[in-house]
Amino acid sequence: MNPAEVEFLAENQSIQITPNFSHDRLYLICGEVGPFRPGIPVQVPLWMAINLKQRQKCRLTAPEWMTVETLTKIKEDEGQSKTFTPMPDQHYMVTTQLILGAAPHDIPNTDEIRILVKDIWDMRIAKLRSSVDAFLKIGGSLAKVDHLTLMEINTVRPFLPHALDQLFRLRQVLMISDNQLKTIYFNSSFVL
Amino acid sequence: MASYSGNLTQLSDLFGTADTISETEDAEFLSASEAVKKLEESWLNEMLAPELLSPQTELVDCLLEQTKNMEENLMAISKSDFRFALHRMEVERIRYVVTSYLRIRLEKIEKFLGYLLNNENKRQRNEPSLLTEDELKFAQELNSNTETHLKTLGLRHMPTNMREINTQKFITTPNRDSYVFVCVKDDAPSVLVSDGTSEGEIEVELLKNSQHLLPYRSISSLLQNNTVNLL
Repeated sequence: MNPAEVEFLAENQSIQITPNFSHDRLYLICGEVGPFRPGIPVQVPLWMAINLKQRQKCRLTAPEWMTVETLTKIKEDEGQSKTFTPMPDQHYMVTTQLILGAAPHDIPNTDEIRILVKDIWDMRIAKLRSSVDAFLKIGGSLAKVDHLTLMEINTVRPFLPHALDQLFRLRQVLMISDNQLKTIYFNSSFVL
Repeated sequence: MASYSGNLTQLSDLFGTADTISETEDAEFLSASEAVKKLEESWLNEMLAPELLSPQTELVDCLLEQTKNMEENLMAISKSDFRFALHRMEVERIRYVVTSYLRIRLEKIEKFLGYLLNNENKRQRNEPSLLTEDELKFAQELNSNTETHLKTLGLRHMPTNMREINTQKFITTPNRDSYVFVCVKDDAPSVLVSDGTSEGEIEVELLKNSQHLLPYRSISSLLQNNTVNLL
């Protein structure tokens, strides 16, 4: 999977916009959208919101979590927790990029938000890397990866699964006579 | 097999054309929007699974029909119409998923050609095929073309005792033990995961909404019956 495909999936999410035009309901294959009335907020798919924004036909409303307070809280939690904390949005990184890229003036405190999201991302990627390192050193054979988002998983693909495939092959050849799989807890995100 | 009735009644409000798509076998209706979601899921699963999965022929047909209808309807309105760009974009997004899905399948068919054709030959009549009719035709033609190519290019210049070629000897088989990320949609108690050694089997419980990294073999049946999705 490449980043563009992850972005494509993120664009399917719904977001609130405030149109500055009037139009009847649209009957898309994916469902109905609208009706659009000037000043009345309406939910549309993100790809449509970005298109309308580019044509200067609406203002975007940031998702609830995209505020300095919420993100600061998430960053603190992420820093304190040894495991991965749940993110408010499965595509938090991509969504932020897309929204801030398309409509920097519609969202308050853009720069702070950008920095906070990047900090959260960096923190999680660092955590992910040390987890992967520990996981491979300990020779685990399956892992729990709760709360990892698609983009984060993508950063360790194809390297991690491929490495595990090779280890699996080696084990098959060696038939290590470990009677039981070791139960491995590390970072408790990668639980065997 | 599920079948799908489209959102076309709503479309008819807009464009005044409506018809319904394929009738039921087990009375399971999916709206067009659900069909899109399902195909997106199948697309991801197909992209991330090491082997070829069962084809989603009905979903593909349904969505191709939908996009075709929509395009016909779009011919009727002016390009400067507000709706035009948005509908157009949506059609292109759906078409992208459909073509990408089909292309991934073709890539896999090319890669596992011999393996899939062998399975197809061994298949009992009541077992569903992994290949659609068109895909089977593609696979057979590719197979015979490759053989002819090898023969005309190289083999006929070989000494007579070396002209035999056994295609069965260079078959690529999918690695069903390769690691995949999964997201669990419904609780699955007691899933057996092997670590490659003969004794090393461990039983795990996959809880709803949890995510795991494990060998494909252990969850391939769960993927078939829609209990897990690949990530």
